[in-house]
Amino acid sequence: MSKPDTMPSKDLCSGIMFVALGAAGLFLLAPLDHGSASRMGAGYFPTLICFALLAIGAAVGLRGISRTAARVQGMQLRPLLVVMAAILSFGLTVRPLGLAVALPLLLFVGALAIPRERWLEVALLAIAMTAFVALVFVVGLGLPIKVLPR
Amino acid sequence: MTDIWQNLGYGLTVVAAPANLLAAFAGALVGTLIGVLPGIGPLATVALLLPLTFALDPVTALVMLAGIYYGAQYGGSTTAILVNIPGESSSVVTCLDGHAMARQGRAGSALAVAALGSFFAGCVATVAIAVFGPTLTSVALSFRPADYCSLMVFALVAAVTLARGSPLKAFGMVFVGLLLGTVGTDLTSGTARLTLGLPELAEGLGFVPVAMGIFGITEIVANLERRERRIDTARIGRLLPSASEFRASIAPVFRGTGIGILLGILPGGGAAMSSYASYMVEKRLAREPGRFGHGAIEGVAGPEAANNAGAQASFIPLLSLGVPGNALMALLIGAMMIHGIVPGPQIMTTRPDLYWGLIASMWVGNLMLVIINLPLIGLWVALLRVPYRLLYLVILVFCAIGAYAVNNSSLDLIIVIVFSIFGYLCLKFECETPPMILGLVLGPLFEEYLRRALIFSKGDWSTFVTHPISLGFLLAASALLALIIFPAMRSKRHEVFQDG
Repeated sequence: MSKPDTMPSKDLCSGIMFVALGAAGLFLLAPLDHGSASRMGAGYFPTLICFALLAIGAAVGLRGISRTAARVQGMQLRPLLVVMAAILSFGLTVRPLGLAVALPLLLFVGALAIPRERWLEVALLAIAMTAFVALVFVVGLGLPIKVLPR
Repeated sequence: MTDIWQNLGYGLTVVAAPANLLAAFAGALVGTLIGVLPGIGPLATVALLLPLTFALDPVTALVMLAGIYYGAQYGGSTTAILVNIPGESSSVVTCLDGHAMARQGRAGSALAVAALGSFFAGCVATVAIAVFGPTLTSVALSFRPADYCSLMVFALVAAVTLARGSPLKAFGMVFVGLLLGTVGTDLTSGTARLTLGLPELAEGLGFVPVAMGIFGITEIVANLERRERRIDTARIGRLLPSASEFRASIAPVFRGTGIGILLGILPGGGAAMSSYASYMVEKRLAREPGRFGHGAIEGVAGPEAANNAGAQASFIPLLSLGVPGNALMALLIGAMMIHGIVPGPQIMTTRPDLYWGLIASMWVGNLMLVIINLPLIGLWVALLRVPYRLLYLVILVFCAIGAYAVNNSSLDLIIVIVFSIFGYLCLKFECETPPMILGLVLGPLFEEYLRRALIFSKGDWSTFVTHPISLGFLLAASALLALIIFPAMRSKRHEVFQDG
C-alpha cells in the first residue's frame, strides 16, 4: 500500500514529458528562420506545435498535482530491458554471424524475461524457428538475410 | 449503378492474381490467428509485418495488411464467446452475451451467428465502399488547401474525442506526433529541422521503426508484465443456430451493418466503436432488455456485424480522402507512402488497381474467413492452449526479422529502441499512442496544406472560416470537442464504453 503512494502521478509525469518535448523542440528550432504567416519558414509550424505542447503539458501536469490523482504503477524494468537486450543482440549479430547464431541468441536472451526452468523448450523452439524463418523468409520470400556465419 | 459492378469486377480480376489471392488468404489467416490469441492485436501485427511487405507489390501488401485487420474481427469473437476473453477490443461486447450462450451450451450457435453476420456485413460494406468511395472522392477533389487543413483538424480531433482515455493527454500525443513529423529536411526551404546534426535523419524519423517500437514492442512488454491466465474453454456443441435464433438475428445484423458503415466512415471510428454502439442500440430496441448479458443472441449478432462493417468502412476515408481514421489506417497510409503512392482522392484515378483491387479483396477475404473460421474452429481453440511464454518468443522473432528488414542502418534499430521506451512510458503514464501515430503520418501533409492555404490568403487566418467546406469541418470538430468539455455529454461517452 505504501509503495504506490510514493510514485508520482500519471498526469504529472505526462505533463512533464510534454513540457520537456516542447521545450526541447523550441531550443532546437531557435536558430531556424520562422518567417511569417503568409510565408511560413522552416521553423514556423514546429514552433507552433511546441507552444501547444507546453500549454497542454502545463495543464495536464497541474491536473496531476492533486493528491487523489492516479499514480504510476506496475513499472517492472525486467521485461522491457530483456526485450531491448534481445533485439539489440539480434541486430548486432545477424549481419556478421547470420541467422543461425542471431536467432537462437534472440530467443535465449528473450527467454530471460520470464522466470523459467524449461530451457530445453527454448532450445527446441530456437531450432524450429530458425529453420522456419530460413525456409519461409530467406528461401521462400527471398529476404537478403545471411543464414550461416561466413 | 452499373459502374459499380464494372469496377468491382475489375477489382476482382486484380485480386484473382495468384499473389494477391495468397496475400488475402495469408492476411485472413494471420488476422484470425491474432484475433484469437489475446496478447497481440492487429495494430501491433501490422506494425511488425510492415517492413516485410516492402518487397511485395503495393496492392499485394495492402491486401494482406487489410486482411489482417478485418480478419482479426472474426478471430476476436471466437475467444470472446468460448473463453470470455476478448481477442480484440471490438469483441469486448461479444463476451457479454456470447460467453453466456456458451455457458448454456449454445456456443456453436453464437459462433455461427457471429461468423455469418460478419460475412453479411463484410459483403454489404464492400458494396458500400464501392458506392460511397467514389462519391466522396469526387467531392474531395474539389477541396482547396484550407478545406484539407480543416479536414485534417477534424480527423485529428475526432480520433482524440472518440478514443478512450484522457482527451487532453491524447491531444498532447497528437502534437507530439505532429512535432516528430517535422523532423528531417523541410521540403520548401531545404533546411534541416530537429535532426540533431545527424545526416541519417535528413529524411525524417522513419515511420516504420517508430511504429514497430511504439506498437509492436511495447505491446509485447506490456503483456509480459501481466500474469498468465489459465484458459478454460467451453464446449462447442452444435454449430448451427436454431430457427428462432436465426430469425432473431436478422434484424440486428442489418442494423449492426448500418451502424458499422456509418461509424466506420467517421474518423476515429472503426470496429470497436461500432460494436459498442450496436450493443447499446440492440439493448434499447429489445422488448426484454433484461435478457442482455444472459445469452441474448441479438447481443452477438448486432455487434459482430457492426465490428466487421466498421473495420471495412474505415477504409473509406483512407482510400477516398487519404486521411486515416484510426491508427491502423495511419500505418496503411505509411505503407502506401513507402511504396511511393501519395494518398489522396487521386488514388482512384492514378492507381485504380489498388483502389478497386483492395475493395474487391475484402469480399474475397470475408469469404475465406467464413471458411477458415467455421470448420477450423477446433484448431483455433487448440491454439489457445499455447502458453504465452512460448508465444511471446515467436512474436519476438517476427519483430526482430521486421526490424532487420527495415534497415541497413543502425539508426533505425536505435529508433525502434527509443520508441519502445517511449511507448512504455506512455503506457505507464496512460497516454494513448494511436493519436501520436496519426499526428506523425498527417504532420507533413498538414503543414504543407497549411502553408499553401496561408500563401493563397496572404497570411490571413480567417480563410479557414470564410470557406464553407473548411468552416463545416471546423464546426464538426468543435461539436466533437463540446462532447468532451460538457459533463452531460461526457457521461454519455463513458456510458458507451462501460458495458450496458
